[in-house]
Amino acid sequence: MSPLLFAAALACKGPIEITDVSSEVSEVIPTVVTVRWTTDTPTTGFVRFGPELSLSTPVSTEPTEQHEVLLLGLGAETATDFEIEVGEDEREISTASGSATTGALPNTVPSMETTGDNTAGGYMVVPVIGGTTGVTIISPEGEVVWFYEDTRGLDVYRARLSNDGQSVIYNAASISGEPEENSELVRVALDGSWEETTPVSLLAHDFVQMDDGTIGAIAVEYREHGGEELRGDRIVEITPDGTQTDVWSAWDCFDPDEHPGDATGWTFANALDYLPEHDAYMLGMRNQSTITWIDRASGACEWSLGGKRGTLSFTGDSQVFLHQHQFEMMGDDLLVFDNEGSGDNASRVTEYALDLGAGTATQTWTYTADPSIFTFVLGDVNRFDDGDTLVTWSVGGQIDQVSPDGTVSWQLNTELGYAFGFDTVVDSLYAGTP
Amino acid sequence: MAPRLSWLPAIWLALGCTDKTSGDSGEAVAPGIALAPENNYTFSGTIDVPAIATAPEIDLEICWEDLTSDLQCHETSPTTDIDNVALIRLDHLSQAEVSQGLSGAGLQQADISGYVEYNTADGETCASFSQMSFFGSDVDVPSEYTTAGSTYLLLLATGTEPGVGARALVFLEPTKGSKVTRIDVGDACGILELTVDLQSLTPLSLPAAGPWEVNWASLETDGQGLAFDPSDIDEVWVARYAGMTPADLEANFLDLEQLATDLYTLPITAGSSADLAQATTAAGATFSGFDAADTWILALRCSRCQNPAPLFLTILSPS
Repeated sequence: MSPLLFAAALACKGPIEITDVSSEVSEVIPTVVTVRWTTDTPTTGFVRFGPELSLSTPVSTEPTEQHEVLLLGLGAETATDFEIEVGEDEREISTASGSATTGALPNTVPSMETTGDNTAGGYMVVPVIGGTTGVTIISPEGEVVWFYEDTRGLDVYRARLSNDGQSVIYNAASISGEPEENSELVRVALDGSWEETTPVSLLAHDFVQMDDGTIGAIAVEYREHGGEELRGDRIVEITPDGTQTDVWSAWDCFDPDEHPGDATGWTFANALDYLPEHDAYMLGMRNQSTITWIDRASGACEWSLGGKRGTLSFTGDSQVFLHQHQFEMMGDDLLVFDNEGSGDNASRVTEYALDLGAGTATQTWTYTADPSIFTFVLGDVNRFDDGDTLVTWSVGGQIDQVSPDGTVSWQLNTELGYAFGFDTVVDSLYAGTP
Repeated sequence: MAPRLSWLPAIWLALGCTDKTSGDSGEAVAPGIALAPENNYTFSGTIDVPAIATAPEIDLEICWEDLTSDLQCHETSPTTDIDNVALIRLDHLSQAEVSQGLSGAGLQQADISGYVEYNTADGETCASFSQMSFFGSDVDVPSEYTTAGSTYLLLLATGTEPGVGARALVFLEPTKGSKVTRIDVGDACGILELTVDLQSLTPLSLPAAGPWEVNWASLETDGQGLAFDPSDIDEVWVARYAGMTPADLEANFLDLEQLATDLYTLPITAGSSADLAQATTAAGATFSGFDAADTWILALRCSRCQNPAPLFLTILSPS
C-alpha cells in the first residue's frame, strides 16, 4: 500500500499529470541524486528507488508543483531506477519513473571489507582520519554511500545528520598535541551544494545536537593554576543564530589540586552526550578516567563514575575503565568504551548497572576483540534495540557488531592508514539525529 | 596527549590493496577500452626486512648516515632524503607475518597497535626514541619498547606523510641482555625483490589515432594476482622507451620512471577510466600519439599503496 494517505482513491478529477522528470548526480557527493519533477497541481509526493525500489524518500509535507528530492543511501557507480508517486486530496495518485546512475567516489575514500550480516541495520555516520580526512556514511551493508573530504588540515572526530535533515554537521579540530585555535563546526548540504562554517576556538572531540538545533560542544579552556597554564575543558553552546555561550567549565566543578590529570592536559574531555529528558550533559574526561553527569541548567556536577573524582563506587569485581572515550547511557545502564582499563594493550567495552541511590556501579558485561585491538585514542559504543552492540575500534579501523554472548555477527575493516572517528548510528538518512 | 605508544593513522605499507565492498544495485557501465587480465603483467614480490636486536626500554638512538641506497636501489642522501622516522608496533603479528603482509598478503589497520614518529631537521642523520611523538603528543616510547613480544617496525621515509615514501625498513628486537643502544640503518637495496614478467602478456591493442580512453572497472586482480580495487588507482602512466624491449624493461623494472624516453602521467581522483589524451609530461606536453618503432607501456599506479610496482602494466600495441 502506498505510504501516501491520499484520498485519491475517491478521486474524480483524473490523474495528476507529472512532467519534466529529471535526475542530476551531485558533483560534490556523487552518490547523491537530485530528482526533480513538475505536477499540474500542488501535490505531495515521494520517490522509491534503489534495489527493487526498496528505498524511499519521505513523503513531502508541503504541496507544491515544483518537486525536488534527494536520493540518499546509494553506493558509488550504481544504476538505479526510481519511481515518483504524487497525490492530493481530490485527484488520483500518479506515478512516473526514471533512472539514474551515481558517480564514482574519490579514490581517497578508504577501502573497506566486511564479513557477516549487520542484522541490526542502521547507517553509520562516521568520520575517517589518517590517509584521508572527511566524513563517511556507511550503509548497513558496509558500503560508503556518502563521503565529504575535509581539506582544511584539521581532523574530524564526530559527524551528525542535522535535525532538519538537510545537512551533515561535523567538527574540524585537532587534539593531537595542542588544540587548534582555528577549529570550527562545519555544515555540509547532503548534496554537497553548500558548506557553512562556524568558528569555535579550541574545539575538542565531541558535540551534541539538541532538538532546537543548538549545538553543545567540548572545547579546551586554559587557565592559570599554580603559576602555570593548565588545560581544562568547557562546554560551549552554539545556537542556530551562531551565538556562542560557555555553559559549563571543568574549573567550576573540579579542583586541579585535588584531582590532577595523569597525562598531558588536566581534564582532557573527549566525549559528550546530552539527555534531553533530564536536560543533562554527560561528559567523559580521559585524563581523569571519569564520566560526569552535569545538570545543564545549574552546571552542577551531580555524580561521577570512575577515576579519582568518581562519586559512585564500583562494586565487587567490577572492572574499572581507564582513559575511556565514548559511552552510552541507557536508563540506569552505562556502556563505556574502555581504552586502557585492561592494562594489556587491549581496549574493551564495559557495561555497568548504576544504582544512584546506593551510589554504586556494578559491571554487567564486557567485550574484548579477538585478536585484541588497542585503540589508543577515540573508540565508540552504540547499543542496538536488539541487544547487540556496535563497537567502533577507531584507530584499529574496525567496527564490530557484537551480540550479548560476545559473538561478532558483522565486522568492517578499513585498509591500512585509516581510522574512524566517533560513530553516530541512524536508522534513516532522511531523519536528523540528536 | 598521553604517554602510551600510539597508533598509525596513515600508513600504506602493504604491497597489495584490499577489496572495496561492492554495491547492491546495478553497476554502471564503464566507457572506453576495457583492460583485461590477459593484458596485465605479472609480478611477485618479497620483502626481507633486516632485524636488529637492541636493549629494551631504552632511549634508542637511530642513525642512518650509511643509508645511501633505498628499497628500490635508488641513490639516497642520508642528509636530505630522510624526512620522517617512524616506529610501528604490531602486537599480534610476527616479523615473518609482517613481512608477508608487506609483500602483499595484506595488513589491516587493526594490526597496528602503536605509532610514533619524528620529523627530521635538515641535515640530521640521527634521532632517538625520546624525540618521537604521536603527531605532537608526548609519548614515553622507551617504556613502551619492551620484550613483551610485539613486533616493532622502523620506517625511514622521504616526506612527512605517515607511511608514504618509505626508503628503508628495519625490524627492531628489544632483547633482554642486549647492550645495543644505537642502531645504524644501512643500505636498503636488496630488501625488496620483485620478479616481473612483461613478455607473457597480451599487448593491449588500441587505435593509433585514438580515441584512447581506457577503463579498468572489470579488472579483479592485479599483477600480483591479488584482489584489485579499481578505486586504488590514482595515476596512469603512458611511457615510451626508445630502443628498449619488454625484456629490457623487465631487467630494469624498478627504474621504469627514470628510463622512460617520454613519460606522460595522468592523475586519477575518482572513477575507473582515463582518457590518455589528457596525460602530460612533466613539462606539460600532452600525449598525442605513438611512435610504433618504440616500446610503449600503459601502467596503473597506486601511489598510496607504497608499492613501486604498478597494479596493472601492459605493453601497448597501437594499430
